[in-house]
This record gives sequence, C-alpha cells and structure tokens, in this order.
Amino acid sequence: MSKDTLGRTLLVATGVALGCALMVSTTVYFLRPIQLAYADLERNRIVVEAAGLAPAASELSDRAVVALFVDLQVRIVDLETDQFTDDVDPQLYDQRAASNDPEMSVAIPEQLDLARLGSRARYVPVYLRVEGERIERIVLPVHGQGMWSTIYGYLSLESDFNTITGIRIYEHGETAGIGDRIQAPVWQAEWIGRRLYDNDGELRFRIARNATPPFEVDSISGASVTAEGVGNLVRYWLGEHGYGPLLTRLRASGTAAEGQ
Amino acid sequence: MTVDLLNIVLRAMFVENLALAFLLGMCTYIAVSKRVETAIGLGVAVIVVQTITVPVNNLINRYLLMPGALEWAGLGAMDLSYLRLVVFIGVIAAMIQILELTLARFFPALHHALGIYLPLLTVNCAILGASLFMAQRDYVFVESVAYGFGVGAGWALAIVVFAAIRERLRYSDVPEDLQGLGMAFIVTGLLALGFVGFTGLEF
Amino acid sequence: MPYRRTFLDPLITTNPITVQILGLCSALAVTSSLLPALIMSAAVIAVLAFSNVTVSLMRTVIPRNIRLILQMTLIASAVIVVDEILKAFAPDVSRTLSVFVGLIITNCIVLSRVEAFAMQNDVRSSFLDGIGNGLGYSLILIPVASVREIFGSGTLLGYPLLPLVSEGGWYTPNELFLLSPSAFFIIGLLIWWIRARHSEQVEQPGYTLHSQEDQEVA
Repeated sequence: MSKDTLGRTLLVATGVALGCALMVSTTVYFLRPIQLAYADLERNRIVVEAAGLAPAASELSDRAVVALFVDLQVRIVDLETDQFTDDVDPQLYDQRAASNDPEMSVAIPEQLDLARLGSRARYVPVYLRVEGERIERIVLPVHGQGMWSTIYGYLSLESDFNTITGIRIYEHGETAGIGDRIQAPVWQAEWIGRRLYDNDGELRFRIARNATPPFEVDSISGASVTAEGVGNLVRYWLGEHGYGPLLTRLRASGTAAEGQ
Repeated sequence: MTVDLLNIVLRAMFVENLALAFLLGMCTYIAVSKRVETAIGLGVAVIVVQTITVPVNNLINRYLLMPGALEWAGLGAMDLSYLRLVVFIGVIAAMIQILELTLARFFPALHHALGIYLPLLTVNCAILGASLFMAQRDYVFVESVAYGFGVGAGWALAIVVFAAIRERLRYSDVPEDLQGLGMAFIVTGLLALGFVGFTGLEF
Repeated sequence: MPYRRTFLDPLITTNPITVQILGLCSALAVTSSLLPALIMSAAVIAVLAFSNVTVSLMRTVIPRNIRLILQMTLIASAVIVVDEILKAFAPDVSRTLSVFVGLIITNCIVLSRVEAFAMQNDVRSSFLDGIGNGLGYSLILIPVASVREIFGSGTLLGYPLLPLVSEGGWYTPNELFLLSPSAFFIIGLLIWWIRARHSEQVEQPGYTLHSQEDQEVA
C-alpha cells in the first residue's frame, strides 16, 4: 500500500496539476492571438459586407477582406457628446472590454434600456464609406439581449442616415435551428429599404407580426422572442440614448469633415 | 420572474430535453434502462445532482471564470473561461462525492438503493453538458437553479419512459439480429422524433 | 496481448459504440454533416491516444485514492488543448461543434479505456488501444454522418452530390435526416447489419417460451 501514502499522493497530485496547468496555459498563450485575429477578421468581413463593398463577403479571401476593410473609415463616436471624436484611437479600442470597465462605460437608465444591457461603452467605433466629402454608407455596431444570449450585429444605413441597407448578426447564442434564423438571408433581406425615423424624427422602426413597410419588419414565427430581442436592441441603439442624436446631426450636415 | 423560471423549467424538460433533443447521457441512458425500477432510481439521482451542480457552477463561472468575473479582486481584465471544462468537471466530481457521503451518513437506505449509479454520474455527459449550456446562456443564480432542476427532471422523464418501453419490448417478436441493442436505438430514435414535436413551442 | 489484436479488435469485435455502448452522446449530435464528424473523430482519437499514453506512463505511481480525479484532470486538460487548437485553426467547425468538444471529457470511451486498459498495460499497447478505439468510434460516425448529409442536404463535405430541387434538380432533401433521431435509426440499422454478419454479437432473449421448454424436455 506504499503507493497511497500521504506524501506520495500529494507529490503526484501536485505534479499532475502543475504539468496539466503548464500544458493548457502554454497552448492558450500561443493560440489566443490567432483566435482573436480570426475573430477580428470575421467581424471585418461582416462590416465590409454591410458597407456594401462586397455582395457576398463569405466568398472573399482573407486578403480581400483586409484590402476592402482598409477602404472604410473607422471613426469613434463619443455617445456623451454625440459627436465623432479623436480622443480614442480606433485601432486600439476594444468596445467589449470598455463595456465591462466602469471608467469607460455608462449605466443605462432602466426605462431606456430596451436592449437589457445594463450599461454600455461610452465610445463606439462606427464605419463610414466615404466618397469625397459625402458619407455614402454608415455601419453601426449594435448589440443587446435576445432570448438566451447577447446578440451582436451591424446595422448599415444609407447616406440619408435613415434608410436601412442591411443588418448582419455576427454573434449570438440563441437556440440552434430556431433563434438562429435571425441570421437567415431571407429575413435579413426584408430589412433592406426599411426606414427608422419618420418625417418628425420619431423612431418608428419595430419588429411586428404582419409588418407593414416602411417602418416594420416581420417577426419570426417560433422565434419571436429572439426576433423581438433584435428589434429592441435596434430601437435602443438608434434611439435617444444611442446613435439617435448623432444621426440627427449628420442628417442636417451630411459630412464627416470635422468632428461633427 | 416566477413565470420566467417556470418557462425555463418547462423548456428544459421538453423543448430542450437533454436526453432526447440533445442526445446527452446516452451511454447510461441505454445501459441502465432495462428495468423501470433502476431507471427511476437513476432519474432521481440525476435530478438531485443537476439541481446542485448547475447553480454551484453558475456561481463559480460568474465570480471566477467569466471574462470580467474577477472584478471583485481587482483583476477585471482576466478571462479564465478556458478553464471552464476542468473546473466544472472537478466541481461535479466533488459534489457527487459529497452527495454520496451525505447520503451514506444520513439516508443509508437511499444510498444503498442508488448504489453504483451515483458515482457513475460523474462521467454522464448530461451533467457536464447542462453546466456548459448554463454558462453559454449566462443565467443568473435563480435561473440556474430552475434550469438544473428542469434538465434533471427532463432526463429522468426520458429514461423512465424508455425503460417502460424496453420492459415490454423483451417479449415482442423482434428479428434476432435486431434484438436488444439495435431495437433500443430505434425506439430511442422514435422517442426523440416525438420530442422534436416540441420545438418551436413557446411557453 | 499481441499488438495487432489490441489495435484491430475495437474496430468491429469490441467496437466502442456498437458493442461497448460507449461514446454515444457526441456520436449522435455531431453527425448531421460529414465535416464536423471527421473533426470530432480526429479530436477523440487525439484525446484517447494522449490520455492512454500518459496514464500508462504513470500507472505505477498513481495513488489509488485519487486515481479517478487524476485521470479526469489529464483527460480534461487534453480536451482543452484540442478545443483551443480547433478554435484557432478551424473556427467555423469549432462553432458547429460548440459544447460537444468539451463533452469529450465525459465521453465514456476515454475514461473507460483509461481505467480498463491503460492502468494495466504498457505504453505501446495503450497507445494502440487508444487509436484503435478512436478509429472504431470513427468507423461508426463517418457512415452515419455521410448518410445524414447526403440524404439530408444532398451534399457531402459541402460538395453537391444530389441535385437539389431548389437548384433545378430532382432531389428534395429529406429533412428527417438532419434531425438527431435519424442518427439513432441509422445506428440501429448498422447494428442489425453488423450482427447479421457477426452472429456472436447477437443478444439472446432472457427467457424461454413454455412451448420451447416443453419441446426440449420432450
């Protein structure tokens, strides 16, 4: 029974623990950068597609995505002043990390919190397709609670900052086969041409059963909670506490020239 | 809130039944379902284990492993989620061990009845799977209790129903080569098909 | 035990899925198309080989009282490594496989072989046993996944095989094959076929009919 002495047990246990810890940590240490780089690439692919630079970004090679992505202007929006700002470097900024950092995020008042986020980052990167002085397309990151998970996506708008040119969902944990229909091209195609605000500047966009254009998109039967979640997060981000004021300002001027 | 919780339980039991919709815990499911009595015993064990391990793992995930979880220790930037697998399985093994000791000390009759099935649950995919799904969905503590109970109850339901059918099957005229295991698979397939009917149901 | 038998037995004679009834969980859920099944098979073979070899190397020093948790730690670590590698180099498939790679930890095959074989045998045999069982597992997964993908989507590994009606062809995909119950049916039929050819695997009924008994007595 000498195998079972306390000393022996502790020695082997510690040895195995250390060995495994070393193995796992080393692997993660070396692989994490690759994983993150891939995640970034995938996000950029979606942004490129949302900006209308490529019809089917999934067909593009990685190099093509990077090349097209460079054509887009990344600007940081300060949601406290509702203006573009250069205070934060877009290349280094991580919106998700900022959302969890109390210094860099803002609590959302309960009655405004349609996306059930609790808090959101103060600075948000947006992507602009600029031709000369005019902003042709703006791609806005949006996220919020679905039925089971946080849904992340991009909403892209025309140069009138009102008409939707597309929605892309790039991350979610909704029910496979049911909730993931928010990623289906058929549903997303319905969004094209819909408008967010009416002539008085009121946010009229919503997800509804038996939707009527131009302000409504059909819910998804069997996945209505998930679809509602998408609708709510869009309404939050495009409302007063999100990009609403910025878009109002841009509609008045239409240029990206100064920090306007 | 109560309605949400009830929702979670019902979804876990039917729409997302671990045994018949996700096909987790199949090894034990097929191996231990020859008699209804043993199936019930195992089912009860599963319910208890799930209702304990899922919330415990939820706490650990929230306050130790998630990205940003170590906020309270001033280490908000750390992301230990890659340790989830090891930690969860360790917690499950420990909880089952503790449960076994508790039962042996305070409820010896029950302990004897469950016998070997309790330690066997350590490697039941459904137990680990439930914790992993819970982590993926970011439940709060109360929700995870409801979820743990729901998945346990769903799994128990599935195995008892299956055992009842198998007991009858023993006396049916099944082709020789299909007897036993082959038939068990096909019957499970039919049960699973039945449960597919629950998808899309919203409570 | 001769090395050849150690390696060949788990392929059919003692196949982990159809004979030992192990490793079912993941086998059924990841087989709706061939690619995830192939990746899953590779992952399982890798983990089996690693854990069998490591446990076999340590079998003389592992104390009995912490045996189980030590094995699980080794297996879990191997699975994490495989999972991270997949997430880095095959991220799309990794997303499809989601929690199931993690569930390899509880894959009955791994723990069972470690306990039943690696703890008592030398490194080389353990390695072969690990690979053999992994291959036996793949031997069931691959046909199931292939059938499900061909009849469920008309493709194999993404390449169109049966022309779909939606693309101007004649084949309407049978969606039953995309649902998990179909995996059960296919494995059930596979078992039927295997037992028809290997009658030693057929299970005897646990009872005899009165009429048979009377005849035997007479």
